[in-house]
Amino acid sequence: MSVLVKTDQISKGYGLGENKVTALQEINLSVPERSFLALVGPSGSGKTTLLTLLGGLNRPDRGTLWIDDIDVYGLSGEKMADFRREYIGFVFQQFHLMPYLTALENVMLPLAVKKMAVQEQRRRAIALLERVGLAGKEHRLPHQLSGGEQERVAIARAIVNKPPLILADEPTGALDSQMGEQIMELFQELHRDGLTIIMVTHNLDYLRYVSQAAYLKDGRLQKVEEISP
Amino acid sequence: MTIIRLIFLSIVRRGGKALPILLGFILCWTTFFSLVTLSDSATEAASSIAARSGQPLFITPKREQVSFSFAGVTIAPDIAVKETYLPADIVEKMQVLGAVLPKLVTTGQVAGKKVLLTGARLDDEMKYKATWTLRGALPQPGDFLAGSKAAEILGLKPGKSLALKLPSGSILPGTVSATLQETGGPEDQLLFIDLRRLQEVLGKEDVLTFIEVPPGQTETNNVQTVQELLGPTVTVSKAADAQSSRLELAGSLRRFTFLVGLMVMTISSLLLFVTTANSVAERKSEMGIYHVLGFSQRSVKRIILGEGMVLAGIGALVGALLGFGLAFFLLPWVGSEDLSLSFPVSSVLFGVTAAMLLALVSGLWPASRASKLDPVEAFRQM
Repeated sequence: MSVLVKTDQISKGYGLGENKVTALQEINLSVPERSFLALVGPSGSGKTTLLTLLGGLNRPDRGTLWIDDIDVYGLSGEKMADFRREYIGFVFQQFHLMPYLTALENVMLPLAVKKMAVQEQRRRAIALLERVGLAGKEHRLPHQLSGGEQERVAIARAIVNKPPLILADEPTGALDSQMGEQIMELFQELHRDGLTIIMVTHNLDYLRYVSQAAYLKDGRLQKVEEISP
Repeated sequence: MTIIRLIFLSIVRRGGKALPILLGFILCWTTFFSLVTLSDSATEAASSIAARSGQPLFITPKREQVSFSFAGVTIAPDIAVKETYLPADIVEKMQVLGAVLPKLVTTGQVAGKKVLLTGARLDDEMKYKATWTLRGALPQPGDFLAGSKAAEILGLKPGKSLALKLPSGSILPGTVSATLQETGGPEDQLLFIDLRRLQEVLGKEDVLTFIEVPPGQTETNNVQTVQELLGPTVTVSKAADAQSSRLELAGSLRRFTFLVGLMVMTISSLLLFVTTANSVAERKSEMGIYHVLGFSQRSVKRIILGEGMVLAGIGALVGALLGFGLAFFLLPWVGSEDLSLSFPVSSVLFGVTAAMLLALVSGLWPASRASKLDPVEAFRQM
């Protein structure tokens, strides 16, 4: 299986001079296509920082990132935006849905900057909402949905552009355990359908859903282990 | 989903947030457009009346006048030493000029109220006064014609009889056959009667108070030409007539409107700048989502600027409609009955365009900030 995501000596710190705090040190990570990787580690270990670096939302102090053989940090401005749109879908703990858009409109949102007919956008978004179990709730605003439903909308929005890579930051963090399990099952389905998923979690119970786990501690990558189904 | 739809959804569904600025815009532009409507209509009306009536010449006798001043303070200006008249035969001398409108003026009283009674050739007056419109029948010799203000003050209506007391104490009876619609000119204040009839009643068959030369009777209505023709015993002048005053007033209103327009634009720009800057600060996470979803900096700028431009455009358009409505209510306060309002289409187009361009300029800095927002920072601040 070819490698989709590869980092080389990625380091990131915050602050300046004596106050500088190292968040990540020389991270070398290879994520094959169609894998489901969990980034685990205690609070402050650098999981979320690594995720934002992998998504091109942040830039490292040193190091290189390749996704599908593209040097991500070599991209700038419009090209970075295009890359993010085409290659990565983000899912956040706080959902980050647009409060004034319905579920359907939130899912269609990433397509607003693509040259795609509105009818095709609708068709695709409705199909995805059905897939994540929200058929019939297309026209509800986020505040009219439960936390689990909002997370499903966020997942549908993340995959509407058909990106090869999903980055999820504690996607079950704001949900109860039952809803958390449901969301994890949904991620597992997406993984089986061929998506590559990198997910930050502090819940080791969820490792049973993933194919790989990368352990971080104090900004360093301790180990990466394969997890048998 | 398109960027334009996103802009409209953001404005409509976040109505509560957008409403204060929209109301601010509407208030500003309503004020501006009501003034534009009034000043456009006033200018148009003044120009139209001026074009129809032109500027007549007035021939009056040379008057010997003195002024009494004491310690630099004018106590009594222009005291006429003696009452002077034009000889009636001067009219024949003026035939070469074309039509002339001779008049004899005296004072009178109707029910204790003073009025200026003017003897005139009413057939000719009607023929050459484009601004005259009668309510009632054309007066026959012996009938009165009342100017609009005079009719209002004296309570005169067509068909009403009146007894006018002359300075000599004698009574001049007659019927008001018609009243004039308001012209905005001096005739509004006057009571008219046939010239020959008044001359007979006053015993002044050979004299006139003044002669009016209607516009277009001489090549240029040139004061000097007429003065040379009539000699030094008369004064020929082109009066600063009511129409000139109306044009001047309309010009002042236009200048005032222009200043209000500048103020409206300045206030709108500041309002939009502050609101957009605050909105961007409040909606940091939203901006962060746009970045995360792959919206380019240019797309984020378009959304922010688009929202401002749509709000400004709607504000200006609604303000134009309300301003036009307001102008109807303000009309009795600032104008006269002959002002007719017309929707200032070109001003509205200009105003809406200007409002949207100002929104574009005012929103540039906040939009630029929003487009460069660090999404990680934006989410962290939530």
